[in-house]
Amino acid sequence: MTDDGLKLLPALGQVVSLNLRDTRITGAGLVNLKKLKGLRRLHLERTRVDDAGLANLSVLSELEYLNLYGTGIGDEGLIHLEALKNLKQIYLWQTKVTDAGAKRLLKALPDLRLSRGVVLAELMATDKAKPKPEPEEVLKWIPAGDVKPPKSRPGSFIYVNFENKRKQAVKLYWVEYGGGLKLYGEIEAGATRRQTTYSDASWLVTDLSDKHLGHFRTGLKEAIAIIP
Amino acid sequence: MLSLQHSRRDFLRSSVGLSGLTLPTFFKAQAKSSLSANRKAKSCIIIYTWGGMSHYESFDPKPDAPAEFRGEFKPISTATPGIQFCEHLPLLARHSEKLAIVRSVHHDQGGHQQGMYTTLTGHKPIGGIKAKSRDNWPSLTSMLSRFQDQTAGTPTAIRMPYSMYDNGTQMAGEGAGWLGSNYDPILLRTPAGKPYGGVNRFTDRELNLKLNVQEHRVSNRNSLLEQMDHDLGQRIGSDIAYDQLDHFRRMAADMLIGSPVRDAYDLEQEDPRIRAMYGDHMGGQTLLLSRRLVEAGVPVVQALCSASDLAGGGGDNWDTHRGHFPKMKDRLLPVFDRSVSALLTDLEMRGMLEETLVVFLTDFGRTPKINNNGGRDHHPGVYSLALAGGGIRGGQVYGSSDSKGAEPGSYACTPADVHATVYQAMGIDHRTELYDQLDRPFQICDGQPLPLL
Repeated sequence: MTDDGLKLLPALGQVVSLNLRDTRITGAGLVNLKKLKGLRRLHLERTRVDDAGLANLSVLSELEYLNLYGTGIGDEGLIHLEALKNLKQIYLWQTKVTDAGAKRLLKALPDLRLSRGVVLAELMATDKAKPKPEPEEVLKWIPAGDVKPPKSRPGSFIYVNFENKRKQAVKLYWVEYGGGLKLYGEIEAGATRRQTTYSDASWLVTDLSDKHLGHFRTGLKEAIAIIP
Repeated sequence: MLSLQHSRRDFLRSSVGLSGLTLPTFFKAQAKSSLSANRKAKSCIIIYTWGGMSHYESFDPKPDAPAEFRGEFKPISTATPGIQFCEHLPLLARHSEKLAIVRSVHHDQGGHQQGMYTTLTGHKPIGGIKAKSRDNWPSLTSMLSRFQDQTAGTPTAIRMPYSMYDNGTQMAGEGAGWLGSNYDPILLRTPAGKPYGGVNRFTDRELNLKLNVQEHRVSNRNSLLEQMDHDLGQRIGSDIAYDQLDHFRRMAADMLIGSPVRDAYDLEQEDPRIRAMYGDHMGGQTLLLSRRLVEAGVPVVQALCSASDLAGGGGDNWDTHRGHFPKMKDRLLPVFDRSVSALLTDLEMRGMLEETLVVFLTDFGRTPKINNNGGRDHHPGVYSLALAGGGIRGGQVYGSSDSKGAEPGSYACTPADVHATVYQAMGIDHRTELYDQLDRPFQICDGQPLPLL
């Protein structure tokens, strides 16, 4: 959805609620909304609308809800909204609006509920960044032979780093609960693949022509699995 | 996300122009005739505290009761004059203006299975009930899903992160029962939380979306579907009706391949500061995932708010027969406080709270008199629930319990009444009659909506 798509809007007449979240429209495209005089709810969050574009909204006298979070608008844009006497909710998180701009709008529209959300920089002030869980064990490589890889069983969530020490790429299969094989991808020669998996799972390694090379069985902890 | 709504009358007038050729096909007009045009809530998040959350140590503190009833904690003021919460819900106390607390809920089912079934389905269990039985009443999650647009391309109901189990037996009441398997909520495991061995070996056919699917050398959809078929065929077994398999297969394939739900599931895409706001545990990340799923268009989400990954099996639920006060203080309440507050903040600042109804459910409350093990036992005689968003008027308390917290004091109500309120907020007539597979009519809800909207 771009500004071109918006050109079809005026033909629709009595639209009451319009959701344009996450579309590629810009402020210029908002000119197409001017005819939607009955519009009550407008979602513009996470679009590229700008302060100039908001001028187009000043004629939407029935507007009650306007969501602008995640847009580049600022105090200048808010001035265009002062004429919207029916506006009851406005959402301004992650915009360039400052305290001064918010205050000014609230003065013009005293019944307006204005939400600016959390200040992301202030979150995590006391939380240290959690490091990714480090591998705590090395899984045993069981070469292909008489022992077939057992079926996986349900378990708890872990990571395994598969390291392909061979000079050729390999394929990595998960052995399903019923015993079938599910391809997860290939690991290039010398490469490592960080794989989400569960405890009590079986992982089969084959060469590129699906010849079984060996398998691993996961334990309860984050692990490394070295393919020799 | 694109949608537009007309006033109903005008939609009918202009429907000719909307029949496809003159509009970009990605405009999806919504004029569902079975849902009230006045409804505020388009989505619902059900937060379930499994095991029975003590009303004393949450929304209904009793500072004036005798010591052996009131417990070790003190009340704190909230942002609403006259409403107090337990002191260990300080973050949630600041959100009291969003919450409608109901302090007079009661029923007569004292066991976990019966209590959970009653609360989640709004109906008393009759005789022995088994999980997955098609004779069960549908859960609230399933019933809400029945009224949503089934063709929208997203699942209509998702529940997370795992099924409720008691001593190794899966509980009845989380599925769609007589509504049929198409309305069984999809079970998703939250891809987060500190891993440990123990709780939930029983993964119950949950969908673990493997996020590295894109790295496959699988170049076409058919090939992937073949893999899913093979996988599901192995896992489910041959005694499942074909259309049930098809439902999961369809949903699973859609979720694996390029749908907004798949992106929502990938928590690594969320700003790490927002992830931290919810808390680094299963409970917090499940609520974060709830918000993302609703944003991606899933209308009904059920989330267990548990602390299961913080303490092995012991942190899994709220069933505090022993050592109640340390467990509540150290594990259960902080997770609940932080993650629910984060959810309310998050929904509010994204402008989603008015269209998203949040409902808090639990099996029952806990006994007034503290037992010899420093715990409280099951108590359905009276307990507290809460609602927020979706048109609910916050900053209010409906009903009360008596001075000891043992019985309703005023405005007694039942889980069915809470359900009726949810249906009303979601624009569904709670007296609607539906038919099961034998064509028997059932009124979906026997309660009366509470005046909370």
